Amino acid sequence: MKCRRCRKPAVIKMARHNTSLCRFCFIFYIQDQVKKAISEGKMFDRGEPVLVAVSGGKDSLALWDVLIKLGYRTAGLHLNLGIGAYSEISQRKVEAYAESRGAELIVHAYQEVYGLGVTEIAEESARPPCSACGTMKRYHFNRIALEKGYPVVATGHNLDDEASRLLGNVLQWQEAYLEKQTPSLPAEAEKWARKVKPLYRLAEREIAAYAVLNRIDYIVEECPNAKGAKTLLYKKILNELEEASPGTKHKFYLGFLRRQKDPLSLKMGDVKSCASCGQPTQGALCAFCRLMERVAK
Amino acid sequence: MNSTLLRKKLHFPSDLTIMSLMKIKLHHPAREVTIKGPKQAGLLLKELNLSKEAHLVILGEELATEETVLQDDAVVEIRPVISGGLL
Repeated sequence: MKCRRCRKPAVIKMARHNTSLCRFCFIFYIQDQVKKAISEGKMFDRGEPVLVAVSGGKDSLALWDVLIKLGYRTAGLHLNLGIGAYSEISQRKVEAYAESRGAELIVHAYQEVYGLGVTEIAEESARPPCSACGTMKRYHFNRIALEKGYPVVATGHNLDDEASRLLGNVLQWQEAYLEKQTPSLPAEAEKWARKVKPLYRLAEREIAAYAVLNRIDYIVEECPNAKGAKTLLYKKILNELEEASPGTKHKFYLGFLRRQKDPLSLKMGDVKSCASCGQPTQGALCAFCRLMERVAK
Repeated sequence: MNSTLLRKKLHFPSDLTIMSLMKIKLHHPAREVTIKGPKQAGLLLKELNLSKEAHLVILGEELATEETVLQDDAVVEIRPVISGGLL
């Protein structure tokens, strides 16, 4: 199998593009797709500091790697979720990567701050683990970004993440979520940092391949709390469709984005300050403080 | 299990000459299986009933394409690429 661009031996076949690429051309393709996402989504400028949320998984570490290689000003933010050995290994992978690249890393450990890991917080608040985890992550990404002076938070969400989320939102007709499902959520009233997803054009398999080719040591094991998560079922179904009809995920999600009404002008609604923590919210208390109230009861 | 069945299951030829087999490292759960080669990576995934959209085949430290022929003595990892949870 030869590279379509340069005829050297290919390392990956991408059925959705009906092409195969060698190592060099594939890395160029990945960087090009990220540059295109940043530019089209007006995500950030070259001089702007970007806080990259890094879990220790392939997507976030690959994103950080691409942004560093493209010359962006970045720092990593790792939230240690306190999920036993899984979180310990994840943190070690992130620290090793940051050290190898001489990159700045901020670590925030739930266990140290709250005395509980995310699993216990979910149990105490009677919330599904992934739901409590999502609330906590969104809160900490925003709060720490603003505290540390980062106007932008970049996450490693990829095409498969976004397509499966879109499928879930359509199946449940979550219209409010559909409106906000964009790879670039704007900042608002100096309370919300911009949230951007520069990997949204890349399939999960392509990002894993990038990580392998660049010898990025990431945690392969799945989060123990994600077992049975609906997103995994949606991804499995979408991958079956993708194998039968290559390009399905791409057409589904990018087609949705093309049909959105000017997502870059999206407003976050009436933003108030949380009565407890001062973080932005549309109610009296933010979702994180409501969660922690339930834990305290 | 009788000796013939055991030999068949372990991929031993009938004269008991021990052949090397591909060692395949799998995840979720972590385990190792052995499979007789040579075999194309794409066929290996098919034989193990694994989606090619959801897995990478890694030969040593390098990516194997669907057409890469994996030899009997190959050390292969089949790495899942899907991660889940609420986004």
